[in-house]
Amino acid sequence: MILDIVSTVFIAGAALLSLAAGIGSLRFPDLLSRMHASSKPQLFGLVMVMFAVGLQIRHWGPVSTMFIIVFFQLFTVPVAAHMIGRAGYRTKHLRRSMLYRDELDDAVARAHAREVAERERRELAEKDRDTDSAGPASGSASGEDRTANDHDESDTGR
Amino acid sequence: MGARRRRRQSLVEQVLYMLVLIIVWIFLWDSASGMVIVSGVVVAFTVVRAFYLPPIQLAGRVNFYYATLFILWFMLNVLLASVEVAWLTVRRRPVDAGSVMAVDLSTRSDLLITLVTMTNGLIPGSLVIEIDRARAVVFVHGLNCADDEELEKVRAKTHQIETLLIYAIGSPHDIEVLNDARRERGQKPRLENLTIRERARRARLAKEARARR
Repeated sequence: MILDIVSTVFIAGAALLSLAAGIGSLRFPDLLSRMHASSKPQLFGLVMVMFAVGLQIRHWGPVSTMFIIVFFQLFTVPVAAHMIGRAGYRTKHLRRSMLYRDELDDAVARAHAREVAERERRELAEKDRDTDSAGPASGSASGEDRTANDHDESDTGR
Repeated sequence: MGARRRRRQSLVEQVLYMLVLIIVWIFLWDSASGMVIVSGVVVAFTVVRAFYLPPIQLAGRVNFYYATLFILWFMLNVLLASVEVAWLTVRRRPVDAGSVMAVDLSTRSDLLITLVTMTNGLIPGSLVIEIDRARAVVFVHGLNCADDEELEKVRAKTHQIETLLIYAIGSPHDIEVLNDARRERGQKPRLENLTIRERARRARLAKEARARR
C-alpha cells in the first residue's frame, strides 16, 4: 500500500518533469536555453520512473537492467547536450540578444587576434628575408572575417 | 614514479576497467552464475585489449568522505535545480537571457575536467559549451542568467563541483593548486597535509631532526 503510494508519487513527479521538459523546449527562446530544458528534467524524470518501477517489481533482474540504463543515461545525456550546445555555438546558431554576457566570444576574439599577430609577424619576417622584392599590399589579415574554424585554435594544445 | 610502480598502477587500472565491464555484463545477464562470470571475464579482457583507448589517468587516491559528500551534494542539486528549471518553463514570464562565462579550473587532469563538465551538464541550469583543454578553462552557459549575481552563482557552483571532485579523487598537485585558488577567493584550504609542499616540509623537518640527533 505505502509502496504503491510512493510509486504513484514518483511516476506523477516524473511525468510532470517530462512535461516541463517538453514545454521548455517549446517556450525557451534560443538553442542554448532549450538544451537545458530538453536534457535535464527529462533525465531526472527517467530516474524517478525507474525508481518507481523498481519499487513495484522488486526482482533483481529488471532492477539491475535499470541500473545500467540510468548509469549510461548519466554518462551520455550531458555529453550529448554539451556537443549540441558546442556545435550550435560554433555554427553561430545562437541569438546574441539572449546572451547577457559572453566570455567565450571574448576568448575567441583574443585567440583570433593572437593568430593574426602571429601571421603578420611571420609575413614581416619573410619580407625582411627578401628585401628586394618589396611587394605592395601584403594582404593584412585583419580585414578577414572570423570563420567557425577559428574556434579550433583554443583546444589543440598538448 | 619508478617504472615498477607505474607498471603496477597501470595493471591496477586495467583490472578496475575489467571489473566495471564484468559488473555491466552480469547486470545485463541478470545472474551471477559461473558461466556468466567466466564469459564476462573473456569479453572484458577482449574489449580492454582490442578496443584500446588512451588510459584514464587516476590520481591513485580516494577520499571517501569527500566522494560521499560529492554524491549527496550532486543529488540534492539535481533535485532542487530540476524543480527550478521546471518552474521556469511554466511560469508566465519568459526566461531572461543566459550568459556564457569562462571558469578557470585548478586541475589539468583530463578525467577531472570531463567529470566537472558532465556534472555541470547534469545539474539543470548550467551547461558547458566549450572547453579550453590546454588552459583548463570551461565555458559554462547559465540559464536565466541576466545579472551579475546569477552569474556568480553559476561560477560558484562550478567551483564547488571542482572542489569536491579534487578533494575526492584529485592528485596532490591539484589539491595544492586548488588550495591556493581557494585562499585567493578567501575560502579555507582543506586536506593541506596531502599537498606536495606540505609533504616536502615534513620530510625536511624529519631530516633536520635526524641530523640533530
